[in-house]
Amino acid sequence: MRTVLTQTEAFGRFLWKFIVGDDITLAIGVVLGLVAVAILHSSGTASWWALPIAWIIALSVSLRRSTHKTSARSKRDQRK
Amino acid sequence: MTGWLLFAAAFLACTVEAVEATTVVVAVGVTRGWKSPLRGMATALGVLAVIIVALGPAISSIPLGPLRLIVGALLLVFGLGWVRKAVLRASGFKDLHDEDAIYLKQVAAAKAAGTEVGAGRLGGDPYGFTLAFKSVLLEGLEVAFIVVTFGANAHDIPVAALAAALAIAVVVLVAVKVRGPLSRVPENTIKYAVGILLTSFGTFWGAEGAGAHWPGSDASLLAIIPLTALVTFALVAFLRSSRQGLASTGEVAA
Repeated sequence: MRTVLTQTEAFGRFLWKFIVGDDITLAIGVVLGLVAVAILHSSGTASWWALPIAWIIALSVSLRRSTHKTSARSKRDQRK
Repeated sequence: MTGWLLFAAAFLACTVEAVEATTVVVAVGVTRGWKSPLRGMATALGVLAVIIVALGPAISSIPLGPLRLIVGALLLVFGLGWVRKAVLRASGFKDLHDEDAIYLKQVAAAKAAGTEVGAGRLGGDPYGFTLAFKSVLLEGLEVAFIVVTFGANAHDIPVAALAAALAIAVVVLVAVKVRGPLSRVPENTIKYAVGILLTSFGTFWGAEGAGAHWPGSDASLLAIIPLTALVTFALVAFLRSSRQGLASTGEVAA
């Protein structure tokens, strides 16, 4: 039973890493973009632009977080 | 629709779909090795054959929208992950060769999970297998739809099927020809280009699956791909300049 749980947990982690990757911001941006497209489409408005805008914002936020982490790590290393 | 007109229409439409699927397979094959994407493609063609034999003309009743939505969303998430790493590398915020270590970590995690759907069974690289499988299955279904709908409208399914087969053969031949030159392009450049392609196709299919109609239909990809590239180039330029600023104040290594 414990082995099954460990394997399930490990597989869950693998699947998470496989789909979501290094930063969940991108997956959240894609989901929000698709929801926006569906809402705009159902209201009869042109909706194709919503997904590119959503992923550009998500990618920018994700890159900003990553570069901030890098410079923070660099500062810590310098203090040591 | 006359026979020649039907042939030309089906050939062109199927060429577009075949190019889309082949682009993903070649891109993944060049960057991650050919074994898994080719297995993914072969498995997708097998599944496709079973679906076509089982459903016959009823294949046109399969809802393509949800399939496009799932495939598009996953391609977009994968593609953005590739683009993110490529932008960080190109702007100097990430080392150039850490991909292999990350991949080995993923394979180790898959092995720890038991290799039910992990590395061994999928031919070494589940990532490459899945990307190729999804794209070939989706585009293959679209080709089957084109054959059935065009063929049924003109009461000549064999001509539409012949046009589709010829279109696929031509696209595969071209892909085999460009495979060699592509493998000589530097690895990081290829990974950057693949990220842009996956993001572009993911954007196109995902939005279509969620209900959007792209201006110009499939031709809009000719605008989506360069625009995606431009956005990433702008991000690289911005990060490079901010890195130079941080380096001058000593906040990151120069």
